[in-house]
Order: sequence, then structure tokens, then C-alpha cells
Amino acid sequence: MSILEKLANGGHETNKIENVSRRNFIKASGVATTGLVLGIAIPAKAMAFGNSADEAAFNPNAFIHLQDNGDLLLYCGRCEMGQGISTALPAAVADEMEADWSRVTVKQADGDEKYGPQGTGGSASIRVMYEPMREAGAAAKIMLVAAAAKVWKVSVDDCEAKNHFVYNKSSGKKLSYGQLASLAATQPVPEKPALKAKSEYKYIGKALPRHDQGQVVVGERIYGVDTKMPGLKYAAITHCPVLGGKLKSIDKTEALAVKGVIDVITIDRLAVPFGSIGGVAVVADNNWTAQQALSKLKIEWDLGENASYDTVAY
Amino acid sequence: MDKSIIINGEKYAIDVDNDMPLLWFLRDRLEKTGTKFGCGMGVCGACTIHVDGVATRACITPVGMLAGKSITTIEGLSENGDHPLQKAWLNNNVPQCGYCQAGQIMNAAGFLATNPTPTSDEIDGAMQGNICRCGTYQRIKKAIGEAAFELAKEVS
Ligand code: FES
Ligand code: FES
Repeated sequence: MSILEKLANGGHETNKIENVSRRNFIKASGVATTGLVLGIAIPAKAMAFGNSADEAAFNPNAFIHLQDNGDLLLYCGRCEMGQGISTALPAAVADEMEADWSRVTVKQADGDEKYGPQGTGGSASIRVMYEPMREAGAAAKIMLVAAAAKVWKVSVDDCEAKNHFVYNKSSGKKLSYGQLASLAATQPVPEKPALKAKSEYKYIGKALPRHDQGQVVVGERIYGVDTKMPGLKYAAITHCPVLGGKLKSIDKTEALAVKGVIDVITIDRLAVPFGSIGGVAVVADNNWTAQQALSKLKIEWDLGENASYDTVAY
Repeated sequence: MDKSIIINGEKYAIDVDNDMPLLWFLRDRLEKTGTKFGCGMGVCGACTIHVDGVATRACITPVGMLAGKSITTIEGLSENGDHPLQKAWLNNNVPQCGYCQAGQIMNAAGFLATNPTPTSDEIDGAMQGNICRCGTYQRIKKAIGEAAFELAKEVS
């Protein structure tokens, strides 16, 4: 099945939602262990890139965490790249959950395999995650309402969830989502929570201010290239100028002599899965040094069978 | 000689190769990553910062030349992210991916400082060296116009 077909089929499989409030996910992530955490297992097929998830076991790859202070965290394995998912996914969760959208924060998943493959592409993030996110929100709402009903010793029909609170319809009392979070975590997870009708949407389909714009205008938004970690090194890479060519000979002496250069590494062409073209990388203390040393490499390329290829002549 | 540089009001020793462009001194040495790397050749504007108030491409400006100078980066443009340009950027939902926007804002800020009442053509002229791969040019231009209007009010 092609990736596109898998994506198209994704919506027809059932997403599983489980209460993982007490499982080690939260501890492993170093976040608070209180509140309500729902894990959502989006079927491997919908994830599209050959997730090895065991379909029988519950392997959640997305999480929502309602904290005791009422803040709602959404752990997302897909990357925000300007397409707006760090706004759209919270909107989907918050709408079904009757949560206050401004209390939802998206945490970029950290690459741990529990999130499944984290490649982002093919316009798939919303198509794959929209419904699971809505279902998780709907499930959380039902559990919060059940918790409130328990506190007030009334039927769930006497309770109503609205904008981060559950209201007691007859007494007019209310409890905040934060107050209810931990108790909600002890309630059963509904199997197939009913979703809202389109006409009831508060956030979905509406123009919302993007969540991350504030960070952008002060230079605080972190891009891949901004990642820092202890002992981080930097590489500058050069490739064979002709596709399919390869390295014939290399003299690294001058490059290695540059202060701050750690190593010069040759990378072979990897034909699968994406046909990487390979090349030579200089690893150094900082980008500048790596780039400087790169220009000191003496490389001879074997241009291969495409050496004479000429666009005009073709 | 003690060589140092002021960045967003704080003093730093220049303890790297004099030839290292300011961009890498900021990003790799000081780990201030708000200033972005696009081309490294002075042709995209992503790395724009201010040197003594003048919009400058950090990727082609050797840090050794900047001893004693005062640098402003996007992180230091305003205390609370409330420079009229930053506000106008939010009002107009300008960024898409956002990668070019630190450079866009810094370039626009340098420009408005010299020309607080720009015409439409003057905005185009001043911003033509700042490339946005997402193509947010219309919104950038609108936001600059709005910020200029606000700045004019602040002055009068
Ligand atoms: S990175 Fe400096 S102009 Fe492109
Ligand atoms: S917003 Fe993406 S490059 Fe300008």
C-alpha cells in the first residue's frame, strides 16, 4: 500500500484512548505525576511511516495532560513548521473538551520512540491527528463531568462542562478543570465518546491567533538548527556536484590542521530510503570553523555516469 | 588590548577568531539563537542585527571589527517584546514559519529609525534584501506601515 493510501485509510481505523495517569510515561517525562493524562494510540497505518507499534498492546503515541492547576499540555509528535498545527491541534482538543483554548500548550515531543515516527510531511498532521485529538478531548470532558457528579452526588445529566469548568445545573455551583483533574483520572475512560456537531464548534474552523507568534517576534522560537546540548559539535558538509558520483580521493591534512576541527568524516551515498547523496563533513567546535576547514579540503570526485549530463543538450 | 562588544546592553569579551562573523559568535559562542543563518553570504537578510543602530548583516561582519560597538539583536529590540513593529507583526499575524522574521523585523526597525514616515515604495526599497521563503511579504509591508503610524503617534 502506498503511503498516501495508508493515510487515506487511516481515518477508518479506530484510535484507542487510555488513561495513563499512573503509567511511567509521566515519570519518564519528568512532568508532574498528578492530574489527568490520556494517551492516544493512533493506528500505525495512520502514522504511515511503518510504525512498529504492536497493534494488540496499547502503545499511545500522543498525550494530553490536564494538570492540577488547570493547564492542559498536549504532547505532539508532529513538528510545527509554520503550518499551524500547534494551534489547530489544541483547538481540536479544547473544542471537544469544552476547555479554555488559551490554557492549552503544545509540547514538542522529544524524539522518544513512544511517540512513534515523528516525521512531519505529506500534509498529514491534521488528517491523522484531528479525530484522535477530538476524541481525547471528548473523553476527558466525560471523565471530568463524571468526577464532578461524584463530588456533588448528582447524576452526570445534572452537570454541564463549559469553558474549563463543570457546572452543577441545579445548584449553580462550579468546579474548575484543575480541581477535578486528579479525580477525573480515577473515572472510566469512555469507549467511543460522542463528538460535537459542526454547528457546536467554538474553535474548530474559526480564525484563531497562532499560538507561537509571540515567540517568533522576540526570537525565542526554537528551530532545529537552534538546538543546543552539552558538548554539541557542528558540521559543514560538501557533496559531489553530480548526482550519483562518489569520492575518488581526499586530502584532509590542511582541514584537520585548523584549530577547533575535530574530525573529517566521509559519508557514503545511501540509496534507500531517500537516495541521500553522501559527501564529506567537517566536524568542529562551531559552524564558522567547520565551514572554513571545509574549504581547505582537497577533494577529487568521481563524477560517475551522469558526468556528461547537460540540461541544455538534453 | 581588552576587546569587548556590547550585545543588548551587556558586555562580552571577544574571545574567538577575529574573522568569525558576528552571526556565529552570537549563535555558537553565546548561544543567542534568535538571529538566524540563511545564506551566510549577505544576500537573504535572515541574520540582520543592528550595529550602533544601523541594520547590518551579521553573517558577513567579522566580530573582531566590532570591538567597542553596541549590537542589538531581536532578543534585545524591546524590553517586553512591545516594539511597535513587534506589536504590528502580531496584529497582522505576519510570520508563517517565522524563520526569516527576526531579520525582517530588525531590518524594518533600522529603516524606520532613519525614515519614520516611509512611502510604500520606500518600504519596498528598504526591505528588498530580506527574503521570506514563505512569501509573507504582503503582511510584512502592511505591518511596517502600521508600526510607522504608531511610531509617529509616539513621537508627536
Ligand atoms: S545569513 Fe546573512 S544575509 Fe543571509
Ligand atoms: S516566514 Fe517562513 S521564511 Fe519568512
